[in-house]
Amino acid sequence: MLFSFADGFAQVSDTLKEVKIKARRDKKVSTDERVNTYAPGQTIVNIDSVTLEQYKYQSMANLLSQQVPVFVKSYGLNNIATLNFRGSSAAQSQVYWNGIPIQNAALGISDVSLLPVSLMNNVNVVYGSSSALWGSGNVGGALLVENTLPEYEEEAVYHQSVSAVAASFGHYRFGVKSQLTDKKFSLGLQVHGETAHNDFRYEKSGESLSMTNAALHSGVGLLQARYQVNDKNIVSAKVWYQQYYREVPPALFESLSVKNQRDESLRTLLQWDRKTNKSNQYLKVSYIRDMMLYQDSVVSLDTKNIVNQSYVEAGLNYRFSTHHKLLLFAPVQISWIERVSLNDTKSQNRAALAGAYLLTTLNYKLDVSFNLRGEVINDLSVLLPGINASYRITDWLKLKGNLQRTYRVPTLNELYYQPGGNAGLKPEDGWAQDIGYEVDVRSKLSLKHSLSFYNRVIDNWILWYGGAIWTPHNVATVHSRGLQTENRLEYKLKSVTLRLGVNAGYTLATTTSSYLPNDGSIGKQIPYTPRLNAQLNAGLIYKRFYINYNYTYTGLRYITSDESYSLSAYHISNVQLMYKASFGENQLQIMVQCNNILNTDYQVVNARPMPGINWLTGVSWSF
Amino acid sequence: MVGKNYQILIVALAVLITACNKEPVTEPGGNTNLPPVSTPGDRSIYVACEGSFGNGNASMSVLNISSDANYENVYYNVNGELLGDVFQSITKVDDKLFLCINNSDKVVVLSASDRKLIKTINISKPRYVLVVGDDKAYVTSQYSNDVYVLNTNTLSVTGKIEMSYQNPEGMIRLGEMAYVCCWDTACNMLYSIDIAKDQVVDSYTLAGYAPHDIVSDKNDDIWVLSGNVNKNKQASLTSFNANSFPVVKSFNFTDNKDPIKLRVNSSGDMLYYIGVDYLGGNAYNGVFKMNVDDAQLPNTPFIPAQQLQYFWGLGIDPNTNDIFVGDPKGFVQKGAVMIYSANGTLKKTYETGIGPGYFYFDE
Repeated sequence: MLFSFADGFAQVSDTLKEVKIKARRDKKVSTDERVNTYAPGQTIVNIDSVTLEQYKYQSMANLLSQQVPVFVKSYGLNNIATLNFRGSSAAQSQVYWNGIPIQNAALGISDVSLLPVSLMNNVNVVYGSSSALWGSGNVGGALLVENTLPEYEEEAVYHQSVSAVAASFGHYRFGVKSQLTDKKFSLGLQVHGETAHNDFRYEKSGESLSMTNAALHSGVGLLQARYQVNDKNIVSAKVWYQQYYREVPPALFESLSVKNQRDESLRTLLQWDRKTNKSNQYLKVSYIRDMMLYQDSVVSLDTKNIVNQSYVEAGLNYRFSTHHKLLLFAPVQISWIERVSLNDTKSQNRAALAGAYLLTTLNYKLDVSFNLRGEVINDLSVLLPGINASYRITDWLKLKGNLQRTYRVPTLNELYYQPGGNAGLKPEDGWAQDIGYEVDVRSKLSLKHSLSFYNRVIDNWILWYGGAIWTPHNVATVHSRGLQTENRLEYKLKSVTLRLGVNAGYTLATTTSSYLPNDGSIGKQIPYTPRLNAQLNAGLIYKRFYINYNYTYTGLRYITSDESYSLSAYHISNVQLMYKASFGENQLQIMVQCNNILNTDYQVVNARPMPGINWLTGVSWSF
Repeated sequence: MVGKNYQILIVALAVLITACNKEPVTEPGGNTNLPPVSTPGDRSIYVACEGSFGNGNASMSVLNISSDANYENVYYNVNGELLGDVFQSITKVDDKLFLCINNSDKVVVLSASDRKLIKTINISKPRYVLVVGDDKAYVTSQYSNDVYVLNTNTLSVTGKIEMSYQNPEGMIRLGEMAYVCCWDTACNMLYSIDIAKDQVVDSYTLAGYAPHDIVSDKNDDIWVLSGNVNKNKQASLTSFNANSFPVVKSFNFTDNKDPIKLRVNSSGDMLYYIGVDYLGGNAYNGVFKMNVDDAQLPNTPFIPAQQLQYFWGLGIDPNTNDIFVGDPKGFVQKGAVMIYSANGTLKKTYETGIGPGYFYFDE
């Protein structure tokens, strides 16, 4: 559960139909039963609907970096951003769209700067390993994003909204959202376009410069349809297309940059759901195509990579009684890359049979989930067991525990990229454990507090080495362990709600053994893993006003494996203001945000300057 | 009550907003000892540490063998700023050091005595500097067709010599001619430049494509190492004398063997190069040695790399014929320089910056 200032605002607001009142911890936070039912011992952070509203004109990278204790490795305002959960690498941190893995099958990573918050209705962050439920690659954690349509209406109901954003650095965005709902049918369409110069000021060798070659142009569209065939069966379809053209700004050590990148993604999903009193059955069929063009005329580089993924999953969730529940599902994933420059295709096939059994006992105090997955990946086969549990000691105190085998097969790029791919790579393999507790006290002054300790050892950790030619190697055993805490205080006084939220994570992720001769990384923190990061939210809700002060701290990051180079820690402060007004059936929402109000000069990734103080204003009109 | 809360909040925000937070960012580690000011007779060995490509952490290490001293991050420690990205080579011209910082598009000129920055010269993707006159040097430039002409006194670019192919790379001077490789997969020629006219005057057909390294031996024979295995151009070694061309001696490397960094000892009778295997295998990985009169290429390394290791820097000390080998350790951590005697015995190992790739030996 995300501890921020959102719930109350949603509860006092006349929200749009699509803005749901945020679910409490024991309610469903996802459409995926793996999250709702079969992960009682895992730490799951749910981003509430008002926080999604607050960041709806921004990318998921911005939201996560300011609200969740995960390190978002951002290469700059107009550049790639990847996730690092609890000391995991980007390839060990997965992203799922309505349960479908959407990380680039070649790179094995997801660029969360290309995930628009505005498209998503449910966002959950699952901490810790859960390969049995989520498959190979789920080592550090997972980001789950979902789109939903409004519930059916007795009569046909139309909702439209338009939004416009103006922000610093020549940033403009315009969006339209339209939804139609009746007794059996729902249809939704969202589109938005965005353009930005991103010509922010930065310092280089004591000189103030304006960022060049940093323009952004993008277009995004999501079409959803859902049809209730009868009282048991629902079919739905989603088509998500987006294209981002980004100029890649120069790093501090470069004299100029003419690099540019175009990312184009088509994601489709066809789903059938059948619900009865005792069971749910589903079938998901998805096709995803990612294309990336990268050009740098200075070095005569012009590359085009196309990655395809077909995914089919059938599942059965059966409730024997309130004490016994069973989930069985079988995902099949086929990924292939078209190497245009080499005129060939490389593929990776995965098929799995997975199951989860939930036992609820001891007067409903104990929930235990036993998870198991058998997965075949090309010629490899692996068995991934896991168990997680929660025990409610009192009404306000709950213990949690999680034990999982973790596993990641090398990506297509790691195996076949030319030059440098290493077809002899072994999978990363290990075990992970979590243990912790949650406190939930509800009164006029309510308190939520959680603390978890995690521990993970991964063998055959894959690391890219190289100068002229970069090549991935199985180099080491990496031991990650740490603490994570989430805390929120809420005090209600008449029409005012005051809140204070603090999230923090402490991670030690060190190399413990290496195959490399005279390796200097033994005992050292792995690169780009801050030992400490934290977020604070402080503010108030008064009638239709919402104001929040957000503070993030990101600790020192080493950029080399022997801790010989480091990047300073940084503190960023942001302020968000929202106001909503209703005019009959219509609604006006105004949003003002000021990011980096202290004008901090900082870099998340070495030599990629980040913008100083900047503003964003947004207006939306719903009718 | 509400009004009071707002006032407190607004005052707090105003205090925060009026503050301005500036912080240092990148911090290189390593020892911070400054090398002593160089004096006549004090002999330094400079190590160009490339850094990790795309990370801007190139650095210069200085070794003083006689005093067994090792100085890291010398440029940063003296001048207070990072050197840039991909430190390709270093050349001493009179009392100045010329540092080619490839991916930062600059040649950094330092005082050889105290290593203080004198000037930065903007040259696109510089690779190597060759002294060709009292005040003149040539600078090769990757991804272009140009060899830049540099006035080493005024530290300005005075002209360009256009080559027929891209990627001018290794150069040597023999008499009044400079010989230039063009590391282009379409090129199988070596070009000679008349130093007095700064003009290409002749070309020599080589045994293979993509020439990159060049040395001359005791007979003033030219040796050219060619190839780009990753672009399907097999490596080859060609030897000839400019006076007797087209008589050539050539050697072809097979099975994707990837030789780089061709060097020659001070007496000009022994060639050295690195056979590099980026996967760190044992098949063809290490330093190879070959007499200039040998009839075939060596099959086994003179100094083998270990499993998962490959070498990146190679230099032969002209005073001692000691062999300096740079181990980049994957370019993700500080590297090491191993010093071997001419018979291959390991004498000493020093820690360096990231990616030791080039050595310059004081006379």
